[in-house]
Amino acid sequence: MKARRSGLAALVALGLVATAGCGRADRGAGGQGQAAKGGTLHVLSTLDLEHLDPARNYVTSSEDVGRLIYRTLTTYAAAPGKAGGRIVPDLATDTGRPSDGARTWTFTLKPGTKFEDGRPITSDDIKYGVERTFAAELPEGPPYARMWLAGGEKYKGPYKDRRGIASIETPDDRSIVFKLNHPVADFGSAVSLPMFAPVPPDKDTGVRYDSRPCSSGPYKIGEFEPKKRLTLVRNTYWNPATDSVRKGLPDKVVIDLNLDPAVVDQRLIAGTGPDADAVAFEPIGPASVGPVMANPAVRRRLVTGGSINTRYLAVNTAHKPLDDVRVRQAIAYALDKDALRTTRGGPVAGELATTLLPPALPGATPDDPFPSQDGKGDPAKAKALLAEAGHGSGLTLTLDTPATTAGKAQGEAVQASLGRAGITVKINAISTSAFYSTVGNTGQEHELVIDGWTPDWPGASTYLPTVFDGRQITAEGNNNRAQYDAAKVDARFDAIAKMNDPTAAATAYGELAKEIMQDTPVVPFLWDKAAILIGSDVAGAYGHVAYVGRLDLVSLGLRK
Amino acid sequence: MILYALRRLAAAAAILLVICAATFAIFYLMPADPAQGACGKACSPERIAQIRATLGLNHSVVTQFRDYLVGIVAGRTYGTGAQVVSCPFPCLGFSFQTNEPVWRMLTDRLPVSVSIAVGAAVLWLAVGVTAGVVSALCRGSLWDRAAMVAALGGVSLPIYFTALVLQYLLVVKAGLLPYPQAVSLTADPVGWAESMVMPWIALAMLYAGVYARITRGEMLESLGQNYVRTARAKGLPEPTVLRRHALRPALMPIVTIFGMDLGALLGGALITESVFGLPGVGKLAADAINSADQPVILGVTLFAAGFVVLANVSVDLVYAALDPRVRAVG
Amino acid sequence: MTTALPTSIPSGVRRRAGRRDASLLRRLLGQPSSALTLAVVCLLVVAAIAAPLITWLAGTSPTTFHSDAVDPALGGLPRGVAGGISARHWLGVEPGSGRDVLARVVYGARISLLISVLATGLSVVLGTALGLAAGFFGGWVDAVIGRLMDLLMSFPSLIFMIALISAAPGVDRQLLLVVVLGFFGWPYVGRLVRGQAMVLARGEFVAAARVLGASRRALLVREVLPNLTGPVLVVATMSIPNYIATEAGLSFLGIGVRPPTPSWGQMIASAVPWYAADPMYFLIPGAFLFVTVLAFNVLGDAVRDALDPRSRR
Repeated sequence: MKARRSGLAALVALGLVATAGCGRADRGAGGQGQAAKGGTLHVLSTLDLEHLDPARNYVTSSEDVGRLIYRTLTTYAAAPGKAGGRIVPDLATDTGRPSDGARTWTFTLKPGTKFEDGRPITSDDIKYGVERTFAAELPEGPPYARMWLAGGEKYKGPYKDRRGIASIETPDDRSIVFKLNHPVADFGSAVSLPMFAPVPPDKDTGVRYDSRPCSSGPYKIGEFEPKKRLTLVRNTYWNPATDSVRKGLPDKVVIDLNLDPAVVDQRLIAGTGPDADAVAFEPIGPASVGPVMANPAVRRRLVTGGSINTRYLAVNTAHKPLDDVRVRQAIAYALDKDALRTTRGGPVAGELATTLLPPALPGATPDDPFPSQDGKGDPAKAKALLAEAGHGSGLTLTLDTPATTAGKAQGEAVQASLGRAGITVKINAISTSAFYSTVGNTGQEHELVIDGWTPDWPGASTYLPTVFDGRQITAEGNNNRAQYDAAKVDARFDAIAKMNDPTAAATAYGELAKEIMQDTPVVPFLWDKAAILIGSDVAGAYGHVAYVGRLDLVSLGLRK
Repeated sequence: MILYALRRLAAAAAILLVICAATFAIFYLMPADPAQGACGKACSPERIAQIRATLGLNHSVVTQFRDYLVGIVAGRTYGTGAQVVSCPFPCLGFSFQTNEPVWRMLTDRLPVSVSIAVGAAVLWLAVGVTAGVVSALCRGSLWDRAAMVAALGGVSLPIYFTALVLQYLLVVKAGLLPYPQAVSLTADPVGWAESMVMPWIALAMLYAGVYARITRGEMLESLGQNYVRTARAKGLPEPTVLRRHALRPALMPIVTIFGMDLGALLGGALITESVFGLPGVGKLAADAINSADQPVILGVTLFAAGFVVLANVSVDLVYAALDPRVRAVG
Repeated sequence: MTTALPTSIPSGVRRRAGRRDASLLRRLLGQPSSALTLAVVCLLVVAAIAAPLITWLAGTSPTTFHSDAVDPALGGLPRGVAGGISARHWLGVEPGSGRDVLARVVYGARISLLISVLATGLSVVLGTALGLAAGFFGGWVDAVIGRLMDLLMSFPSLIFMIALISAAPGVDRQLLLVVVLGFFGWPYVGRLVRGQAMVLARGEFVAAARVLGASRRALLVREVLPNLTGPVLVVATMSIPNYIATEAGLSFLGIGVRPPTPSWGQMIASAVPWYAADPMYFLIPGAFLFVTVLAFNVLGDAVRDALDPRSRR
């Protein structure tokens, strides 16, 4: 679910862009000099913050901001590159202790953690926060509590049922036990999601909690004008000694929302005045890559982060003749991945994807079943496969894309590259708001869809089963865009889900991913990177893998 | 006079009602599903059904239209139970994409659109009418020809082209102006003017051309009238003749067109606001079109139509006040 | 809501343009300025019709990607100077895809001219028919048509067109654009025709014809209609640039013809994020649009002046 949303955010923002030109900038640090305490950090966002309520916060951009405001049982390490994908304890003393074959998970809270009003954080506050995700009024969050907790299908949330859910036990103020209905090997990773942040019941204002969540982290809400500006000020009750992840350096963080993408780029390229203390929230647009690269001083202020997002062209196997694997493979050969990447800004936008799992994901192994020179496609091979399948005279397919500048540009790139193999592509541009509900409707989805997926945490368990399990195909709200339904693959998913060793599960997912690729339900073309401009006075900047390469806001500070 | 005003207002209300019905019909009879647009990204079958119920899409078109009209005059609520959202008077609909009543979205954006429209109008009236009058007086002169060529050029300039050229020259190349953004006039008058000056120029270049051409034509026509000759023959001083007998009648049609143009612009300069990224009513409409936010498109259409109709009525009333004959005929 | 397109009809056309004149063309050619614009318009029309020939000569097409003409490391910026102008790409290439700008401009001209001419035709037919009916028959016919024209002219037409087009996703866009533009444009013709028809219907020669026993239909066809061709021709010429600009505006807003069909408005819209990095990409289609609209505006003035010497002031 989250992946779809972050994918959209990225499309809307004209494309995630990252750099290869400036080397492995993943090491981070936009300049020299140490970050000092104090000052006001400005964040220039072209997006709106969808939801700040931890029960509803399920978009990578809002999660990045949420990490400044609330703490969760575990969280991601504050580190650049692949290291950022590591789960570390946050409010809990460790990353969880499984028992009963990973059906029961126990966490102990650190002592000395407090809310913004000075009240100590208890296990009941965490339990209450999770229970809120069951409420019909707050539907946007992750489905995991409803899916995994024993008795979750019957519980209606704290507003309807004040007794709470029995499968979360709080034997004392510092202990919390989750009883699950099946083994979940990476539950310790799942509790890094905002829905596992504490919510004090006396501060809960229902749907209005969204605009004023109670802080457990270094910052609390000073002022929030939705769609315009969020001002965060220090939470004086936050105790840095209990927090190994957040630095809490600036006195104030001001996030300007809904700015024009081109204007943000131009302001940060100039980087003058107060913009020296500012960072972009989203990657630079393709049109800004040239001016940035041409100017070494600006180029030094470009920070690149990798991600675990894979973009792919989904091939709807339910439509003839795409039920024929040779036709799907022909499309995989014909696709000019390099042209697609150029529309998104060129090499700074990421690495050309050759298989399903991005390299930063545990279990990923290098694989390129449909190779071509520089990823530009192999129309001759594609034509041969089409002829073999009996479509030598060509065929016509319809492609669903979002009606954004980036979406249309990518659609035209697909159109041009498949055209070389004799496949005529018609573009069906769908308005952004209706895009996911349209392509998620099996009756309305066409033959090809430009799509992508970011797992909820670095692991294949919230990616492959969600996207390729044939039993997950639903008439509406469908994520299996290829409508790929293979009993053999489904059985393997079940077997892997039963494993309680995360490493063995990761390896098994890696092998399965290769097998699925042979069936070619999707054609991966890009593993996103994000190239983000920062002001010259900002220090501690690096792109974080969990936030699709956006800056890890908790580490930023201003130079003295 | 009061009776006339009331009659005009009633006619205006009727026009608005027809516009409302036409817009409503387009949205609710055409194949695009408003629930799907409102459902957004995390869309499940339950949520779509819930939105349909909340929006009242399961009622007949007539019922929906009646509810909409009632909402405009009395406010309304959407949905029932825990899902209820209230949309106070005057309810022009509720956007489920942004979770806001459309009226609030419109009034939030209105100051930007008013800033653009009024500033540009002052500029184009000053430039256009002056140029037109001077051209008419110096008919056939070099000035007249140059002004009319410039006016024709201005009329032919696509606004987004002018806007991009201005922004490229003044902001990127010369660095004279900042990137336009929504600045409040009261909080920062200089910043406000700096942000508005490019939209003003872009719009004024277009309209000044139109006004110069019309003013010149009307002036020439009134200068050729018998009463001007009579006035001159009576020995009235030339400035008086020009002001009272030539300019005044020439300005009457200008007032009409000006009222309509200003009314249309107050309802949002769609392209100008989009190009400069200024969050006015026009940008709201453009964004709503991109995200297929139908309640907002419907609301903006009515809002903009309201301004046009209101401008028509005002022009008529000004006329009636100036010229009693209109009342009798109208 | 406004495209900021002036819809007011210059005062000259309100006057009776009376004379149907075979020497119109000669008059137009007699004036250097109108001869020049006529040449520009002809050139555009020829370029639009010969678009496939031009692209064949230039060895390109409006939809072919030229990835070698853009630099991926610079985000897809055209290689070389001035937006990638070269011997192969005479007007440069589109950033990102490397598609040939000349090819897209000449194919875009086809769309612009086709849609505006057809829309003009539609509004002239509708406007003449309804305006004639209103002016000639008067009474309740006039009242109904008059109200309808008032109503359409007080619509915020741009946003309404947008609403209409975006609410009909499956329909052919070019057809829809013609219908929508023509539908919102006819009252301007209708108002003029109605006024003229009213004058003519009471005119001496119609009265004379009536005395001679001509039927109403014959009157309409033989006496009134011919006298209307002059003013209608003027309005039609003047409405073409309006439709070109409006079509470009709608395309600019993303609801024009569908990709990969090129159109000028769409080209300028996709050039907006690039205006600082690659100004040629908006200057070229923008200049074509400006010159085309200007040429038709000048031509409109010239036609009016030629048909009605009184208005040439």
